[in-house]
Amino acid sequence: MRRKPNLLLLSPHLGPLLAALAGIGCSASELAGDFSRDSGSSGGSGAQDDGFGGDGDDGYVPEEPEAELARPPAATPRYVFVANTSRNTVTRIDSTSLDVITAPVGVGPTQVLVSENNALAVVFNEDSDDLTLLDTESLSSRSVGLRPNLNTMEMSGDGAWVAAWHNGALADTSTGATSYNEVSLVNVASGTHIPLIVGYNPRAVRFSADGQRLLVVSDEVLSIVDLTEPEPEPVRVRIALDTIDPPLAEELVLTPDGQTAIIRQFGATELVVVELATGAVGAIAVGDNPTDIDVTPDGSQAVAVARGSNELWIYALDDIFAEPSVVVLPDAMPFGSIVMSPDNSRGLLYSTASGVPAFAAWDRTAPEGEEIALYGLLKGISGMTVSPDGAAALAVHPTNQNGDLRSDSPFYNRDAVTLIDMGDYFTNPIRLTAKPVELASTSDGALGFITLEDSPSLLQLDYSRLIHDEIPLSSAAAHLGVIPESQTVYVSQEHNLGRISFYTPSTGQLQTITGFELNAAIER
Amino acid sequence: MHPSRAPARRLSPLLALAALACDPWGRLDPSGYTRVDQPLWDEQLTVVGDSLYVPLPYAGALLNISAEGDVREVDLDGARPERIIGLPSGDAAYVFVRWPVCEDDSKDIVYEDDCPTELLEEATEVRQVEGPRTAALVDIAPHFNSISFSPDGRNAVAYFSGDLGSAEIQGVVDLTEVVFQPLDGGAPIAVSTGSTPTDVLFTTDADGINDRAVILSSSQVMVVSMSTGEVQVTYHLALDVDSVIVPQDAMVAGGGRYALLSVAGARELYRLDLVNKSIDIEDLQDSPSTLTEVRLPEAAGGALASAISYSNVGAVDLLDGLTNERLQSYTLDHPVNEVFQSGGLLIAYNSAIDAYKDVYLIDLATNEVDEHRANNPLSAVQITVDQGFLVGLMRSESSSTGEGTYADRLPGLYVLDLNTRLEANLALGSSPVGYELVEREGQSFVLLLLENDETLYKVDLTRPSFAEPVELPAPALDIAARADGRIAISHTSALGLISIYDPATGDIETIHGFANVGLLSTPTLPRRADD
Repeated sequence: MRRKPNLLLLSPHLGPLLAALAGIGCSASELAGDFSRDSGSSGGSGAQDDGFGGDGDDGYVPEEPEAELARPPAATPRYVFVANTSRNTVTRIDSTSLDVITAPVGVGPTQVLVSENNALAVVFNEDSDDLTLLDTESLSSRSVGLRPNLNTMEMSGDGAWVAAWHNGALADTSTGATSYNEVSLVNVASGTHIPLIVGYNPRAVRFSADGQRLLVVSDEVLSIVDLTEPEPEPVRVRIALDTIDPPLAEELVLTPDGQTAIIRQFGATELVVVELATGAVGAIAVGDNPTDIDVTPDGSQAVAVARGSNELWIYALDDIFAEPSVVVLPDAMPFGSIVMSPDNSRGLLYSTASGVPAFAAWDRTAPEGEEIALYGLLKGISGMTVSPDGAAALAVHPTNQNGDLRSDSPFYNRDAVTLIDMGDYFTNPIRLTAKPVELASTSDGALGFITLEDSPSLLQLDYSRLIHDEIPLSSAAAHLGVIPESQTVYVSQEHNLGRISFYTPSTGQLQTITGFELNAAIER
Repeated sequence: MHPSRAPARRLSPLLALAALACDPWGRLDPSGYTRVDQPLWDEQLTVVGDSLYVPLPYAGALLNISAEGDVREVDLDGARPERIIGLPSGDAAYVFVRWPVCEDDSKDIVYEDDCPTELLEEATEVRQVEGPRTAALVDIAPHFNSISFSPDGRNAVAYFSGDLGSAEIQGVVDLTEVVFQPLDGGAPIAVSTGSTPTDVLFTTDADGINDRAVILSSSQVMVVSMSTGEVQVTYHLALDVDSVIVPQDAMVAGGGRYALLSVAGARELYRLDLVNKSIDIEDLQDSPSTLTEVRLPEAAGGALASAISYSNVGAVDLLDGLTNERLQSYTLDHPVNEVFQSGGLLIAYNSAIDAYKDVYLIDLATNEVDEHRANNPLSAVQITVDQGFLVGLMRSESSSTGEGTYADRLPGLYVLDLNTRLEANLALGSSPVGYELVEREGQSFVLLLLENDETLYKVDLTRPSFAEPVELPAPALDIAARADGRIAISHTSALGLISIYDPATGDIETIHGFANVGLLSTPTLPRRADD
């Protein structure tokens, strides 16, 4: 089904903008979004996706991956774990008493994931090339060695397996002889390390929801690892027919039943579909140059944005080969990314590559032909997210994507975010003093919190009132999160002896604990 | 020994004794003239309870002057007193002693000079004395140059605090050792801390007994049970052994749950949770100058709090004793380095910097700050027992210019009525020797002594400009209050002169001539190598 939308032009700024869009000539570096990708555990409904940059062929670079702004904390019902990269420790926060204690781990811990049974916190130590398996109660630990030069860790949903890999989207700090075809697979229970050779340049690593398969999609190869085997080994499936100049894979989506992988390639006109049990490779149409694919929050559909042909392609995941529906987007708007509201009813379309200071609201409940409405923003976009309750959205603007701002605008060449009311799409742009680094939201969706790069402050966003407050911190923020089932925010900060603050919005109380690294050295 | 009761006059420090012909001067040099090049007695008063202890450096003896004025030599078994520390009970003292020992037991060796130098050594010990007699030998090594007592008076804590001074190390010594000596005579307990202690705090259990010692040292704090010597917890103040964290000031807060300590030159306050065994570091406005535990008045909740003043910032912060949250921040015109509580007031002033002469009275119930200014910089501030008056000495300012220059050059006495808030700045004709506060029949007085002045000035604090002179037998050198309320005053006198002033009656009793003990005798070697 193909439907042509009626274009709703709501922003007075969009007239000249539309006229100017054809002539946008931003360099790649100017267009690149500033939000860095944070790696961490994936949530969701059983289907997962991810995205990566690469070379494009429609005049724009690939879209920035959807930044995992609201990365869930590594938490058990009782504790929250925070990695302290520079101090080689992990901080454990008692979410009830807010007592803090640290445990020594390997060198350069960058990630913590918690097993499904909450018994183990798995710490990825990038500089010592190992994992620390930390008992969440006793904090006793053991170490498991990994292959060198890996920088990202994923955990299976059941917590039984961990895979570490080299994510090319992150800074490459590799030293010595290095292969970019490696994945370290670790059996958490036994501590067994299984090195795997997969395709060149892994783009995404995913465990199936049932925990029985590990999938690694690389530039041209999908590696399928059967985790039920006594000695798991990868089955490598070539996903590009063109072996000389193949389109490079960028994104991997699994169907909820875990039997089918859908792979998006930059510059392609089809999505690759792989039947995991057999390794059979097929393809489905997707328009021109798909730059994003998301699974809807209810897990029933996949939505691909075909930036080259200005279309949305919607697939039924329970029958991926069924005829998709297609929504036509405004021709002059090269939207390449999408983020869905939690209730599945709406999506926001934007582009991190084009520098377009606008977004499109896709109302899935609107009459046919009226689903798409355009709204202008002050600056270009490097990322968007929707609050947990769907009431508001947040657009993040890079410093130098100024759209048609005059140079005397207070937002010109400044970092900024925009709060968007998802009811009427009213916006409140907020100028920032530094680049936003992390975002966390309370589970009730009422509040969001942002930390800024190298800044001793915490920005509170009231999603319902679109208002912000700035809370000064004692030192520059490092990591941010919300204590589960509460509104209390924790912000770890730079301090050689450890510093963490807890902010309670209802009372405005900021409690800061400093020096807790010394607690680990206390002799009792 | 019966002391003379007549006033004596001061002689030269290089005492010339001539033509003394009667016993006990029988050992006078045949020339008839003997020169003594050191003081016969120590004029700094050591009051223990109602009695005085007076060391005689030349004779190497120690005198006890009882409440009744009886002078008796303390039996130290021939040893020479080095230090005297009164015990909290007020009826005994620790005396650090040393004596020469000759390794040659020959009977021909009678005097110290008879012993070959290479065979002459010194031995040391600590004796607990009660009046003129030795009650017990105390198992505290003489190199322990710091002794404190737990507030409940049950334990003495001895340790080496870093500066050896004139003390000598004998044999193999653990300089990081801390010894707890029960004052009831129990066996001492020694704990090796691994780092030179700088201060010892005490925690109190539910029965009011000081049960644990908090031993502060470089980069480390150790909590030790004083009954068992068990090291319950050791806090390290730095992660890197190359980082040295030197505690500057410390206090027990929150009713004994926390130890707070500041670090020299740092804007941080370490809070050690002694119950949960954890450390928190609080950022402060500046490097703290003092930490003081405060009990808030009932009108302000009655809770315990911690008052912090700063070296370079005119402020006093009041932190909750349990949560460490800032309750109040009082802004002052100048930094203060002395803060203490008197009733519902927090009193703050600066005793270190001449430019700062303010006295701040902080009302803990209303949080009002009442600022007063003394003419000259203050020191030795005290509050009367009835908390009605603040008294302090004022230092002279030699470099002052402008208005009030003459007054600024003089030392002074500062009096502030804490009820009416009226103040008086009294100029003094010479530098103060010292003062004591006394109360009689509901009235408060200052007893003030001045250098080279044979008068005791009795200042009625309700009329501070009126000072009643009390004639003394000689210029005073020191003043100290006895437990019975009478005031001991030492004077310039070669052979010893001490006055006992009774504020209740105005009577003065003088004790003199006591420093002639052993003046012309040569002491024999008190103990031999096999003793």
